[in-house]
Amino acid sequence: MTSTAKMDSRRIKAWTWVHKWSSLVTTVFMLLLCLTGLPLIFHHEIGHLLGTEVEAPDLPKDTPRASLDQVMQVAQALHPGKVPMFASHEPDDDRFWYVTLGDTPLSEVGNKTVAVDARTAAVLAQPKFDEGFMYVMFKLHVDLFAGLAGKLFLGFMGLLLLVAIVSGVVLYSPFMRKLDFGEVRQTRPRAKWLDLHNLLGIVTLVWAFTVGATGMINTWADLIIKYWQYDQLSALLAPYQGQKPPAQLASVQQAAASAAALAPEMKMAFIAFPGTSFSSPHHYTVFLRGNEPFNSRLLKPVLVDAGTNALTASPPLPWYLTALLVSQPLHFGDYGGMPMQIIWALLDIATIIVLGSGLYLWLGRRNPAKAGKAAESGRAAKPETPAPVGQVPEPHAARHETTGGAA
Amino acid sequence: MSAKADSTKGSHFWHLWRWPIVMGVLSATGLLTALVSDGGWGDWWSWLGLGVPVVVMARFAWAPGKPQRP
Repeated sequence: MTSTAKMDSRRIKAWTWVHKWSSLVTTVFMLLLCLTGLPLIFHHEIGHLLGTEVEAPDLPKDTPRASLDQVMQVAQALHPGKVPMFASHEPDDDRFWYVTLGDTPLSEVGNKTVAVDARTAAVLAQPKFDEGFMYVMFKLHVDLFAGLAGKLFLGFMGLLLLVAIVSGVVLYSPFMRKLDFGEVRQTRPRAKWLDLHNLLGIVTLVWAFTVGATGMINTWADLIIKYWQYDQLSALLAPYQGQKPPAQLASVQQAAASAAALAPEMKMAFIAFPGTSFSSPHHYTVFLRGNEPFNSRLLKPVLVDAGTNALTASPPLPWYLTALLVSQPLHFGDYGGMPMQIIWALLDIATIIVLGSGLYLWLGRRNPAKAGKAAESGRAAKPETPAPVGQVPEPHAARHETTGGAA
Repeated sequence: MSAKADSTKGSHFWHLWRWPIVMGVLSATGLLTALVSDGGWGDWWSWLGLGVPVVVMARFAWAPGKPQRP
């Protein structure tokens, strides 16, 4: 064996170890994420089928809009004792408001959502976002019912997935050296599944890496928003030091109107009430979204004093929030219509097969004694292929089997 | 087959990686075009860019045994 070949072999062994362990640790969780993510791709469509999606009645376009103050009153009347947290629009539908109410501005359990018609201030629905099949799928996908700790854990699993993908790409070369692209050997089940694993893994590479990386970034959302408060809002709040939050909130309609007047070409995304994680104790924070395809994903925050309705500031969106907002569609696959959703689902299924075949190859790995035999049959399987110059001489498929098929 | 017989490093690299690179570039542009366009060509390209890899996987997974030798 030449020294180059020795080094090559050592390098492959190291990458195989990396691929095996990063995959083994994450596989169960990634299977869970792929399976729970599948219905989430179609959550709007499933909501329509289940009748849980809010449908606003069609009214003439020039129907005047109800005052937000009235909208809030109507929603709060249904849940006396709860405080307002958010009022938001769906990205593509400003005909109704989702009003979120909670026991405190920061409460995470027992929150109530009321959908109120933005024109008539009539209650349209009281969607329950904390029960049912889709809720279970969502929670398993996002935080395993374990809050921030669950999110960060899944984020770490996402990081290991990226390691598994990179190491898998490195190993693609030695294991595919003697095969053509897309060649799936039919000699033995192991060879077939190894080839399928390599084929599906390399073809889904860019998509899986993108969805994995953006998913990981999404797990940091809570922390990123907390940092934004600390980084951007603390300076704006200096003049309020020592002051109590306003006892009586000023008109939210007026706050929304003065924020909208600041950027008339933008659309209303949502309003965060004082004391919530997206605002300060002293402000309504109005988030506007752009009306161009790309900047419709970006938000412009406008802080309005919740006591006096004076415009406080409109700090530009920092890069880390931009990164978070851009990473969301790339994870959800919701930005290219139904064909994209279907392709997203198919790529998700391909990833499930990559994970499953990887697990199968590992579970069915052979002991070293049997591996010798496997090497023989591997040699027999492709007798016509000469070993390329300067490479490890033993058949690659056979070596793969001795390493436990983790590659 | 000529790429295979030729043992120079460059052609070996291309034999191994040209299709994975094509798949990767298609996927990457597919992911990006729909992000910067509102319907229209951007969406069409994204369906193509992400759809072709899906078709390629299906082609080789369900009709194996006849490896393509481009």
